[in-house]
Amino acid sequence: MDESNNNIKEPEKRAFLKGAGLSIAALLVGGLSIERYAVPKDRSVPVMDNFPLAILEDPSGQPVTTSEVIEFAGAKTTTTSSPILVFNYPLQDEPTFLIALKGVKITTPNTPPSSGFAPVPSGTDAPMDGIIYDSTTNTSILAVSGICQHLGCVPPFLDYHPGQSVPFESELIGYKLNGAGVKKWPDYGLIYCKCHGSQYNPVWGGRNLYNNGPAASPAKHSLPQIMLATDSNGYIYAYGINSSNAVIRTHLNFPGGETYGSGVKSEDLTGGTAIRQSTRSLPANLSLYKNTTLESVAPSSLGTNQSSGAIILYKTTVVSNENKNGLNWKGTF
Amino acid sequence: MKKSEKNKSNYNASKENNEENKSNYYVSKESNVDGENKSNYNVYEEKPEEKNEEEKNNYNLTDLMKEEKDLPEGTYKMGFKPVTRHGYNIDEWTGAWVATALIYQIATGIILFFYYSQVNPYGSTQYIINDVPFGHIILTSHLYMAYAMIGLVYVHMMRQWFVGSYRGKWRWLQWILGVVLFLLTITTAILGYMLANTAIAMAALHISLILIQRSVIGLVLPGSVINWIESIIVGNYTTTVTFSHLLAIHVAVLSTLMLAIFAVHFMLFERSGLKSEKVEKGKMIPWFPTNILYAMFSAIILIGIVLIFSAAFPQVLTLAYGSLKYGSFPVPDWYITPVYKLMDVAGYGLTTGGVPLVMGVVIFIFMLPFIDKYHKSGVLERPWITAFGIYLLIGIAVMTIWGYSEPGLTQTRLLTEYMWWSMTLISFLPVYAMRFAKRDGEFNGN
Repeated sequence: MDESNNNIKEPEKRAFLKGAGLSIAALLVGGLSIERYAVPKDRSVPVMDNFPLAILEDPSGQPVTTSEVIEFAGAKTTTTSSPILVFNYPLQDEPTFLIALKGVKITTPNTPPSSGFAPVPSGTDAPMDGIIYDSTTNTSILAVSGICQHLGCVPPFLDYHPGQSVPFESELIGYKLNGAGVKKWPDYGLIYCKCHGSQYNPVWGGRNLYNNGPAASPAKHSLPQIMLATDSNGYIYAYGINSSNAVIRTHLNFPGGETYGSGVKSEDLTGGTAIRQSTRSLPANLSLYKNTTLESVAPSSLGTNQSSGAIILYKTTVVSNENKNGLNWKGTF
Repeated sequence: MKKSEKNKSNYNASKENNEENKSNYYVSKESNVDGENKSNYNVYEEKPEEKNEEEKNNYNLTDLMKEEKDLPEGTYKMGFKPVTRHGYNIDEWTGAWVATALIYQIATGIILFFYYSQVNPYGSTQYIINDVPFGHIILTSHLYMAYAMIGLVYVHMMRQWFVGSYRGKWRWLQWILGVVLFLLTITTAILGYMLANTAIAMAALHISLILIQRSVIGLVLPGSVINWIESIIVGNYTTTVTFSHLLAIHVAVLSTLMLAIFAVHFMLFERSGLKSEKVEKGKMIPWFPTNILYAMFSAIILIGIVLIFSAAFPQVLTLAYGSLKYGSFPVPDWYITPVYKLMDVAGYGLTTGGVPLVMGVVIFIFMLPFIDKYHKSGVLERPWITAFGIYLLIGIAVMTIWGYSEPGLTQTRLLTEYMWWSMTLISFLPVYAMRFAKRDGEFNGN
């Protein structure tokens, strides 16, 4: 075949196509080589190896105590509004709710509750692992992730509304305070996401996804439960995530997809900044519920993050939307 | 040669004196004789007597705006074309307003860039509002012009939709680039809205990332690609890196892309000319100065309106990320609410319903020039395209208002179906009824 220009019908067109094709191919090859520019080297590197042991402090730097939390935010069935209590855990920018329920002992149900408004088993059962239970006031203190399991909305769009506080958005889907012909707002209320209407029942502890409302939760998993412990002073410590639960919504890293169960413990702590380290000394012992019994354990047995064999104590600040009862906890997380 | 003659007869309406524009080149007469086998670049020769003549400065800058005549063969011509009086009808200028908005956004964006800091996004935004002279009005007008731009993009798009000017010569390509520009505009707007680090902005960022991961996009594309897309948006996800990335994409990447694609979009428009008019000898109004004055005038009016609104309703920065307020209510910017509501009311969940539905609508709009197989371009000559356009218009308006008044509310499937079918009826029935009436009238009239 004669390839001379005279025999090609449109030589310019061919030359143009060749040139353009070569240029685009060169651009693609060049582009591929800088593709990694967008991915910083520390993107998939965990910020820390294990979940941190963190002491909960108020905005002035004083440790918060269980009695203060109960006094500040303890919700009853008659509560009309509850201050939002939030701290960052396990990393910064990862809000976690601190909720105190008066008159409730959160227990571990044998099967996840599926219906009804009073699913908490009777008082003979032991409190659920990872909660703080105050037997004198019959109050449970629970910490759950404040990142919605649906599309990751954070407080204050996701917040806890107690029994007498029905958010406007939930009324639109058919909740009423006193349900007659409509679904009743639960006695202790719900953690309600106003972005897309996901509902979580704090009374159910770590298995809190609530689908008994007039409209189902678009979320498919419970808010992960953050494990809490106390020391002899009544100070509160966070030391990990309940492994029977889901992972923090924005913590999922591709590839890997949805991880539950035992996989949750090995969830990588990437994509963020570590919470600050505390200069306080480690507590000698922590009391916590483990396998449904109250145990007193040494911090080193918790498997929290350490540096050359020594447990690091971190700190995280509990903030609220208001000041209450002489406690100045108003702040930003 | 026939081509250029035709061009001359079409566009030489200008009465400017040709003699003034002396060209260095002229078309050799020989080229007409034996131009067939010669390469394109050898057809002209310099005049021997002009060879030694030095080019002289011309201080009369208005000559710059005069029509260039006798361009050497092989010149790639890109011109601003004259139009008839009809070309000054207001509906022909919807694109000019969008272009004005783009240029205004770039100008104010550069000014805001002096003070915005990705290390302290919320604080620096507050600083612009409270402490920078004119900062408040520049930031507010940057926001309102973005609103105006998105609104005008819709107006521009629907106008072309109903006029049917997305088909013909290069118009199909112009339409496709227009859809790309539309997507870039919305994306840039959403990124700009995230830059202030308000609570709603961070909710939007989380939602965007999880939608990329969890929706059909994440299910179809391999994990490494999703990871890469995510890295482009947030880097390693620390606050500073996240905002550096968002800022770079907002101020440099997408806006440069937009400007470049706009240049091609505009050039294609100048190549094709107005759809609705024919070139008529003697009726063409020269591009300079009428067209440019008209463009500047309409630009100033648009900017004036935006500035008046900015002065009257200064922007109030919403709750910062990390602040807590009991009973807060997530209200996204209005241009997001249609998509937001569509997700709620699709009735089939986000991953199976919302995201594919939005993508489907965008792909339909994208492919419109090839989907529309009607032979005529009148509104009633393309009934189902027109009806679907009306359907989209009603849909966008209903979704926007509904999403704004009741965000985050999952609707029942019954209500959703009721709404979609009533919208279908409202948009399709009148169009077909009018078409029938028109044909009936024509039939009776003849």
